Amino acid sequence: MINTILNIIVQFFEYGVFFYCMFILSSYLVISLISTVSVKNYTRRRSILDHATLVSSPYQPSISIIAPAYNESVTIVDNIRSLLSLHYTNMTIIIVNDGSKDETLQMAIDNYDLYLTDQEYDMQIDTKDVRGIYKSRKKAFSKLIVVDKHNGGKADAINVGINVTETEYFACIDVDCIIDQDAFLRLVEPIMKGGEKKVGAVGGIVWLTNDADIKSGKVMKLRAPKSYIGKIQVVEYFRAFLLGRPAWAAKNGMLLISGAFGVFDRETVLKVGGYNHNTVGEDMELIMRMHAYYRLNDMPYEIAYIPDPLCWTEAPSDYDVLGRQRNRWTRGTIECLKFHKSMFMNKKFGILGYISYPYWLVAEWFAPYAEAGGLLFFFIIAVLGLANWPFFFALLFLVYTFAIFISIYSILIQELTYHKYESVSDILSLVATAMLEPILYHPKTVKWSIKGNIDHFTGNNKGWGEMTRKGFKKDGE
Amino acid sequence: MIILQSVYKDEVSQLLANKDNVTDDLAVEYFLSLILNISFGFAVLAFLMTLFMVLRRKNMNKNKISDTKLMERYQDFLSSFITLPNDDSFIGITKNNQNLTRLEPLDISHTHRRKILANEIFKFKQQLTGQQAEQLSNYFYGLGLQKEALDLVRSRSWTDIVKGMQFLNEFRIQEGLELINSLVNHKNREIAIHAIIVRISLDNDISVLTEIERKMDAWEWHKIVFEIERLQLENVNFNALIMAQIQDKELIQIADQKLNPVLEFKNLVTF
Repeated sequence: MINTILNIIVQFFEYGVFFYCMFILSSYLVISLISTVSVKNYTRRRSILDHATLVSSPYQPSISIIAPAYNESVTIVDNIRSLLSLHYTNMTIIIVNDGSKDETLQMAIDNYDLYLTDQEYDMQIDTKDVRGIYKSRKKAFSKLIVVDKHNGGKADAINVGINVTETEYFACIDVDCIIDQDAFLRLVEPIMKGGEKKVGAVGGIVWLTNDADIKSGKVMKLRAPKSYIGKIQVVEYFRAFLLGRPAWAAKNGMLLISGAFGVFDRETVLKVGGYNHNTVGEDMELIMRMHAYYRLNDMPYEIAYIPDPLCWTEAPSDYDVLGRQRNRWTRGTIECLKFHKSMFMNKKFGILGYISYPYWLVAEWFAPYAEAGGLLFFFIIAVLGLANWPFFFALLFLVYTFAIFISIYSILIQELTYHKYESVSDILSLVATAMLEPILYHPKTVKWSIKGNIDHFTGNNKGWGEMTRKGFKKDGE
Repeated sequence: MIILQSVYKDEVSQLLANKDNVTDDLAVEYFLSLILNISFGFAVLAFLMTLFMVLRRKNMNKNKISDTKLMERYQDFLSSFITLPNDDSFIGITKNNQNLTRLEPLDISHTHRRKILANEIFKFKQQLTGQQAEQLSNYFYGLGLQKEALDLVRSRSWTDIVKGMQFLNEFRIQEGLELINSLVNHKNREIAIHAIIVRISLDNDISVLTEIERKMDAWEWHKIVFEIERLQLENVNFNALIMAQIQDKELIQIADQKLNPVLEFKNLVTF
């Protein structure tokens, strides 16, 4: 009996992990190829279409930019100024002060000449209490609304913004991001081209700016970050935003629009109940709920993505912070997959049920288990002297070369499309980073994911975890 | 078969005595070499991609410097061209003025240079009106660049076709009308909407709207309205033309909301 069980375990690891590995590698190849076509088509279109004509167009859908702010007194004035300078006419900017303990609200009041209004709004989503809604006396800042509320977290703050605004669409951004000035002119293109299809949400590329030159809230020159941790995240973002999401979006199977930057159809978000407070993956959870709403109501729709670097942010610069971020991403993924388990292999959800959801389940959630389990199994058989070393090294070599191939391919796609890094040394530095990643960095991501799983199942570490950033370089620094 | 294979290696003699197992063993060897070959393939591809990126980047940086210089030179030239007198004295001035002598050898025989100059004229003209715009148009024609614009419209790449149509529109190249007519209902919607815009521009009215065989989305309406505003088409009978295009209620509603400011739609359309 014991022998049989052991035999099954051995067979499972020997063949199961191997086929799992082959499945992941071939999935990456297919996804990368679809993404390449999608990105290429988009960049060709981008090179000739003049979005500037949209600036004064009566066709612009109305958009509110909702930016939650918590203890942002140092940067709030500059961040609001940066948002006010965006090239979009039919726009409202809503800063939601989420019960900051510092001078965030007062800084905004003083610098933008704000007064407390008696504006009423329809509380369609339950949120923490709003203390006041402020507007500016100055005409130049007439687009600005500052909402002061009790602390309730990011999801709650955005829900307040959704309640307060009346625009057709809203954009959710992290207040410390730099948004490209034409970002919304580009993001509304899929909305305007939607025709009879409802465009529920549109996402864009979030690009990293560590060690970049930034002047007057604009990214002037990008260079590869000096630190390894910065560089490796740049490569990771290339893979995700240039080789991953375009493919899912092309098949309308994208489950995630980054919380840092996305535009959403307000009506749909209200119908599905706004952002969910009970998960740290609220951005993914909202998109899954929107998919479910459209699918179950047989509505033609699209969750769109434009592979255009429209939002710039700073990556964590130490491993503790990065580890906490990845831990949170893991917990968010598990929570979302559990919330929406009815999607799994459910024909009502089409591509989501048959491909997107199972892929996330197998390639995202189960990946650290497969990797760690495979390594443990190999360690045991190596100790017992049962290992077939030629095969071990051959498979190791295959996985390693494939990993660097995919990473370098993502660098190549970046170079062929946006070529943001001008020096040859930057390219070589990113390539070297990609070559070291499987050895130096990947084991850490597995560890963080496993920790995220443990935290999820034990109920530890329920919050977001503290995120500290160095801050963008100011002019002349 | 995979990593536990060595367990069975003590049984090689038995394997060799059994035909099926020999086949299995050979399959294992083949499989091993297949994995190695695929791995080497990925490694070689990764190396080639890196090499390609480095060479391309070096070349781009080199060309970027020369292209930027060329663009600046053409911009200088064009701004001088439209501000200086539009007669023969222009050549004399450029020859005698130290600041402008560097503009003299305006060699545009090379296709790449002609392309850059055409783009610079195009961008510059978009910012101008009246006589100066007219001057630039004449210069564009004088260099024979309209032929290149027409060639672009005839090309197979849809981005080139759209680019060519943008030239036709900006420089009002009437010879392009025949080419454009067949593109109004093109399956590529970017080509189609640009063809419609060029027709509006060259016809100086919106009769082309009657030829459209499909529904247009907000993006396309925006383009059309922008063009009508740009051309300031006021004395056009929109009523019949738009009613011919807009046959369903939904589109009438869109037009009502969106076109109203430009076309005074409410006075023209009755439900």
